[in-house]
Amino acid sequence: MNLVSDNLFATVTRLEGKVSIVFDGKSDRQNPGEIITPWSEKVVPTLSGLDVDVDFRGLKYLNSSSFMPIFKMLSSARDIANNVHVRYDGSVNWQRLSFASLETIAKSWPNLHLSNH
Amino acid sequence: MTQPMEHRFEIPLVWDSVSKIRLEVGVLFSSYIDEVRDRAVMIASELAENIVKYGAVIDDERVGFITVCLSDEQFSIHSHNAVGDIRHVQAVEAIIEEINDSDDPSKLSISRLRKLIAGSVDGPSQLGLLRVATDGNSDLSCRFGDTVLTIEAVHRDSVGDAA
Repeated sequence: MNLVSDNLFATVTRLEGKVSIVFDGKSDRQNPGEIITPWSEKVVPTLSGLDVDVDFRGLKYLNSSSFMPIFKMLSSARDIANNVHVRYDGSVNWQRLSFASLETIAKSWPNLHLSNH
Repeated sequence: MTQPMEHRFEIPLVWDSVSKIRLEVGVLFSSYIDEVRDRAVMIASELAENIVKYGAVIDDERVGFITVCLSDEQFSIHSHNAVGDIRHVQAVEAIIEEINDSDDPSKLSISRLRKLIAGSVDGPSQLGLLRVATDGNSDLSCRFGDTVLTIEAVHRDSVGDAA
């Protein structure tokens, strides 16, 4: 269930009712949705009722075309999971700026929480 | 104060050009603070993506150009490319007008993201130019003539004040 593409990787680990999804690499394809969306459509249905930790801190770069498929995956995950905890690195400029939008959007998503460290 | 420097990069219309411009602009801004360098790299990358996605042949060559103007105080990044489909020009003009008319482009960006997540947007996401205006802290303008589209992003703050 891991995501493995040319530059972008996500490792899914399950342990005692919790799921950890750790992203690594960079998402800079012309159409990243072609990779992220089919993977997301397989993973998200398996998250029902679980606590999910999604870690973006290892990502080196996200282009703007990646925002929609990634944020859509998080939106679908919080629809089905118990809680979704998103981690990004607030000390990295582009991560802090990119995830600021999600911070605002997530205010209306009560079971999605973000931490920036 | 030193004279402003202009650096012009050729962008072949292939996707590898986008990662290459990130490296080249990163090197160009290597002596600047991280925040300035990261913004410049992101702006150049987003504009280069537009060139590769929507660019057309110019003077019998499949290339566009990114130009970085850099002074002690400020920087700006311009993209130039021929456009084959006028609808792309109209879309760029529309989003830049919307950004410039907005009191807070970040609200525009969030509204756009919400619509994209809800699946209620047809056509291109337009998040690239919104990101340049918001995360890139830049004023945007564009002009179109002789089939060539120029998009200009002028960083708002002095590069010395950006930390």
